[in-house]
Amino acid sequence: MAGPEALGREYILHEEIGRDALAVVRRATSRFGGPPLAAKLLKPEYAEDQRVRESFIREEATLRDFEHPSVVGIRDLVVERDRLALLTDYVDAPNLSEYVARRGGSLPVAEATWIGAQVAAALAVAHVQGVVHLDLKPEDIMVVRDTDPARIRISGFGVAALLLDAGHAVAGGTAGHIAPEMRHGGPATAAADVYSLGVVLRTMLGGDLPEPLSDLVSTCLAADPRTRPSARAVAVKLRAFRTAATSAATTAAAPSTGTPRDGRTPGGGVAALRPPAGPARWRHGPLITLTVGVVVAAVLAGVNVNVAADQRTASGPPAIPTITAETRPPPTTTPQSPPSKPPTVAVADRTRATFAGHVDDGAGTLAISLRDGVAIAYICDGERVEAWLKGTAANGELSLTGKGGAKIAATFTARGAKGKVTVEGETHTFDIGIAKKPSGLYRTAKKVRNAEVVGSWIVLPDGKQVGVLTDGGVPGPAPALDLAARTTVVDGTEISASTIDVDSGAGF
Amino acid sequence: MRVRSWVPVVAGTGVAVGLGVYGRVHQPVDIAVDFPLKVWLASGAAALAVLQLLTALAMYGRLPRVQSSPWTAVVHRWTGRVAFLLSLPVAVHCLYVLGFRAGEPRVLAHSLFGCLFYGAFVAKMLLISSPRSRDWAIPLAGGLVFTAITGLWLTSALWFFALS
Repeated sequence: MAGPEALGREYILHEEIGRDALAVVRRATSRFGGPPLAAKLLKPEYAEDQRVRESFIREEATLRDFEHPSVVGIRDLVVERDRLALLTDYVDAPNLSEYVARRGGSLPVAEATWIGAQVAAALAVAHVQGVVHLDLKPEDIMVVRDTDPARIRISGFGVAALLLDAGHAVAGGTAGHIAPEMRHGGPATAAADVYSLGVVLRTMLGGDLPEPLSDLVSTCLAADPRTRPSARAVAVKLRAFRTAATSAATTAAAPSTGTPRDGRTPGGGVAALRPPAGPARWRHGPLITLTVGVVVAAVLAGVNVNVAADQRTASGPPAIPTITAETRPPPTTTPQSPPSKPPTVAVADRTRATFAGHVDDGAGTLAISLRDGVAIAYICDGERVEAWLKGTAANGELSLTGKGGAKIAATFTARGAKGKVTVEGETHTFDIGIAKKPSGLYRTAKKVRNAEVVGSWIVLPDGKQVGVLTDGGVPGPAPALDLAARTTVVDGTEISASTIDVDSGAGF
Repeated sequence: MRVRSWVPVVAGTGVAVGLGVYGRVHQPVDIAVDFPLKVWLASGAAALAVLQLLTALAMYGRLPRVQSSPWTAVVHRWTGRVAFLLSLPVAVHCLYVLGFRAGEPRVLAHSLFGCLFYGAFVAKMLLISSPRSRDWAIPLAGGLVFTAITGLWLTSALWFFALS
């Protein structure tokens, strides 16, 4: 953005405060002091056009003479070699577009009709004096809130008209706000401003309007300029709506005047439009949103409380392990005690389950056993790489660590676990499901002929076994494990293995 | 400044602090955790939040070559309402089942963002409802709401996606 810069002999330009299709607006001050100003600098394609320059000089007097309380007055005109600037009062207020956004996207009918009535009244006066705006849009309407309700000031009068006068078709008007006949090169008349007024009204009021108001907006937006009402007629009608809306809102606080007075004051009716000062009201929409939110949250909280209560009843007292002797099981013991509760009931910190499956990218086989918040996992490639990990299972999250930086971060439900496992510096994703007995984790640590033998197995749900057995410090594929007897043969010697049993707690 | 100008700020702060205190005091409950459902609800809300930001920028004329229309406001309002509703099952579940936790940075940040989100949301609703809110207050509250929901999504759903 440009810094301070001279404009003509008298003015200093400051920061940009707005721009539209025709001009850039910058804050300006006079070297001789005085109130702050706004400098509307026409875009180069207009500023350098000789016809535009002549038109401006010719019309300067008309523009300066047009004074109205609702119009931002033109203070000076600067014509330089490559620059054309209009200096106006600086209005430190949000424009209507910003104001509507701040109010949640639309205004209550009473306020919108009040603002609309002021705009219409100002247009009516301008039209009587032969001044048209032709590029009226919400950005040109400043909402000054030193009074309640707010008053407005319109800027940009005459600029588009002068450009049009100089032969610039459509005058670069703002799409969506400009009357259709002007887009097609038709005559620029006061009716074009009424069309723009209709667009402004629609912007302020949002989608749903009361019917008579909606009809008024429609007539303003009529495609045929001859069927549009005059700005004055619109002002009168809006004032009537305003009166009705206000009296409805303030419940008989203000006497309702059924027929509006005919604002035939010299000022064009602005004085007559001064509304009764009433307390501004809280808008209901956001409050309804909040109330609905509180109700929905309360219902959801109730649902959660109920689900929690149900699950507590369903899981009953903590399951008492029925199998105790698991290291030397009598052969008659059923190899699997059917789960006493369906695993679909997940009780986060009391989950007792084993998950087993392959890690993605063929990086190995993983099994995780959970019991009452404790998690034990084993991962191996069936050849040489293996790691045991231990950690916690809480609130659906698994967090385990093991030797050599091995790490698991995952989420789990009663049906499976998914997440990431890091082993030997490489991280892989996994998504593994439930494994019921006799699938699961087995291990052994024995001495065979004076050599330390350490073996670990994962038995997958399909019965396949993957394991690593380290014999005298040398890792290799684990020999087959006899699941019924829980034994395996190493160097011709039968040795026993134990299981990580989530029900009895053995191995945890 | 009149007393009622402070209502949105006081209410929003109260909600944020209240949620945090409840989450800390309340004993977490063991209950089934359906992560994917929560993640998708949260992602839906976060996607709508992006629309919220765009429509808000359009309404304030901050998007080049985009003209605000009455539809912009309607879209802003309804995406906001839907996002808010989508967030509620997630938030109620988080608060009731997990509570306010500070065990690790991600969880602490998530807890704080959660409190900030609803505090800022309440303040924002009251600000746009209030007849005389400050001009800067609504974009500030809206920005806080957007920051909070983005932070919530990053510290939960994105974390979850990164794990899977």
